[in-house]
Amino acid sequence: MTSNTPPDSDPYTAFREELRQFAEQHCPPELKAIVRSNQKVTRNEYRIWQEKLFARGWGAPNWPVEHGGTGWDLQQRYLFEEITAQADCPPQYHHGLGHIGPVIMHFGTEAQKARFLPRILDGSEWWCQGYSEPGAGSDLASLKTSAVRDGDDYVVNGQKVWTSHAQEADMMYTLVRTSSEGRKQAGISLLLIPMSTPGIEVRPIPTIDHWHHVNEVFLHEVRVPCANLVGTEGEGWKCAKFLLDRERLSPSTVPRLARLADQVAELLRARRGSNEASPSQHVLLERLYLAQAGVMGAREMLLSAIQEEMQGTLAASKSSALKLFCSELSQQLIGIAFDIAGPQYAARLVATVTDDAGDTELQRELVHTYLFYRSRTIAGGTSEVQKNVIARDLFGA
Amino acid sequence: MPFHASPMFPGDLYDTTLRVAAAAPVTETFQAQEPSGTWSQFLALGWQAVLVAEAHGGAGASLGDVAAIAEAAGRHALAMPLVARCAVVPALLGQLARQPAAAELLRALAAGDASVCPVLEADPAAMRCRTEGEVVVLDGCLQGADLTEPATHFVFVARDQAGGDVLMLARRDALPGCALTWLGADARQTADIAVAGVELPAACVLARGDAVQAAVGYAQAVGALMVSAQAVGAIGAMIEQTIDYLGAREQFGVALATFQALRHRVVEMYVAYENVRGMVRQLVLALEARGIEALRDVSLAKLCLSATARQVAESAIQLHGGIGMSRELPAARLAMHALSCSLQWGDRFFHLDRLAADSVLH
Repeated sequence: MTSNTPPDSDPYTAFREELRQFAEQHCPPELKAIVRSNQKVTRNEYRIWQEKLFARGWGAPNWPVEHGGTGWDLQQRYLFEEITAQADCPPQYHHGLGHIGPVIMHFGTEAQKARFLPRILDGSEWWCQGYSEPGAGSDLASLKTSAVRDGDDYVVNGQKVWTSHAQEADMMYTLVRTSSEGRKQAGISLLLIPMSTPGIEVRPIPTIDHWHHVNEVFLHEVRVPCANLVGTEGEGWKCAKFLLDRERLSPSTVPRLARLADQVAELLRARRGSNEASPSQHVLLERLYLAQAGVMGAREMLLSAIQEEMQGTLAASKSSALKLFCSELSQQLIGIAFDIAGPQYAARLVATVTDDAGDTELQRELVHTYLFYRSRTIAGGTSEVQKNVIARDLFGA
Repeated sequence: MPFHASPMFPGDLYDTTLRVAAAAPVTETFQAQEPSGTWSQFLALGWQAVLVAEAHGGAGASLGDVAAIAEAAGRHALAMPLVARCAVVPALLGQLARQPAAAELLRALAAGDASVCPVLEADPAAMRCRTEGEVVVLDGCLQGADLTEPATHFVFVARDQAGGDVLMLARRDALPGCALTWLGADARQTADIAVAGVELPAACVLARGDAVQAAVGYAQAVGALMVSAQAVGAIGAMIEQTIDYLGAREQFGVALATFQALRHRVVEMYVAYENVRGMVRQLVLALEARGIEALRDVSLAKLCLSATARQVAESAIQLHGGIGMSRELPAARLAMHALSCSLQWGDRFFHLDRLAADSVLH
């Protein structure tokens, strides 16, 4: 009766300390201040941190060693995310490391691996994701942006929308239609398109959070070398699904939620003052406790999902459940913050005339974040789509 | 393949308990004079000894092993006092084992010769005690003693004249018979025992003052966590049975499982289940490793589990429609069981108050 006994001592003590010291010494204070105050993190901050990690050999905790990964086990990967989140280091930029990198490793040519992977690793090249279109949101496979073969190039025409980071990206991995025959999924291909190619226009979409996050991307007669096709023509849907499955398993999600829960707890403590026993304080406290418990459960859900993914036994319902749960939990947490900060700061979201240009007031950023987080249950598959995916697994049909 | 819940702590203990529990009949009368066949099997299997240290004749196993038993029992809504007698009592007496009375009793319950009913959730003020020379005199009432299966001893908290708490041990036959007996919503059988001027030897006192809170606090956390494991078992089984029912039942010419509104409600049950399952599994290991440092997390988990048990129980009844109201339906009994688990060893408000009182926010 010993199988259910926890390990006696923590074999990761030295590793934790190493991470703590690195986060302490190598993440610039101005970066931490941005993360701590919940301001939007842009390419510049992501890049600075990625360069530091790369220099230390920690550029890609989730990649295999042969491509420059760390070779860490699951526990180490999680500790890395946990400790860097606690120290207010920025997260790593996900589109390269988490999304297209693994796709290129799995489906790409040797030339593509050699051309693209090193620049993701050192943070010198920036990626965005050309997926959604005006007529293809949840029903992504009905996308219409076309790629027609012309000599050694594809000629791409169409429009992408909700493209995050397009304004600061060098490359866009793009789902295009190379055939209208057969099932709509079968005619889709994945192209790697340099954003500097003539014929690409990026227009920002003004969003409710007042942050510049998403864009429309127009593609007019854009010539892309055939060498930039990932996998074979018509294999794009397979790549996209491979990518989406990984997108839902980002190990940084839960530690970032834990950090947000800590911040909300701090906010609640600051609010309390003389009103310790007020009914409103109790209502907020119970919501906070339930969210903290949720973070605890989510951590275990994530670790077991990553474990199953590494063993190749992960069911779609598990990664979807994780995405569904964490996105809703992030909204619950930021909802508490909004209830605290809202009355004063919702009306002061954007400073139009101000004597303090460097104002980074936490509460105001929390209102931005509250509004931004509405997208958590929409992007990467809406909660309703996740529920359909999970139900298919649960009901076996 | 439709959903099938996977155990948090798989192994022999889980499998054996599941097999015995599956064959257990449902009883709905107060008949705590003789042990049921199912309980006798558990005693013979040594389930009371699992958590008792080897030095006291037990198996010296881990909380994960008891959690395996609790989860399996929960899948069949077993109304037996498994958590109380196989987890809470060993956890409580184990802390007091330097006292001969506690050590002796641990040995007896590990051997299956004794079964100790803990009454730790009642208001201590309901039982008053005063020391007179070599004896302690009791007046008051032991409220809510779980006698679904017979007990040889009670362990309970009384209040002395100075207002201090006293943890006491009494043989069952040293106290009078039941004043009132009850059948609970989940078929558990409890009794109130009225006591007037009963004299017990002073050796019955196991702890006084702050030592009572320390010992009972940890035992209570073990109870809260194990009853949560039981609820996880019940919730998993409820989801399976609800899915089966929706697949089998046809209305409007199609299976209910084809309606998106119903499917999405099941998904909500499932996602909540995965979360509490992960929480409880992780905490069972943490409580074993970190002891009382993990008590705050246990309260967080029980608070959350109470909400989830309620949500899943109510959804399971609703999704079964009319038949969900029938006591003959296993899913309905599971719903009652999960609700009951959510209330035992500290309900939602108990844990909320405790979190707010010793909060990290201070």
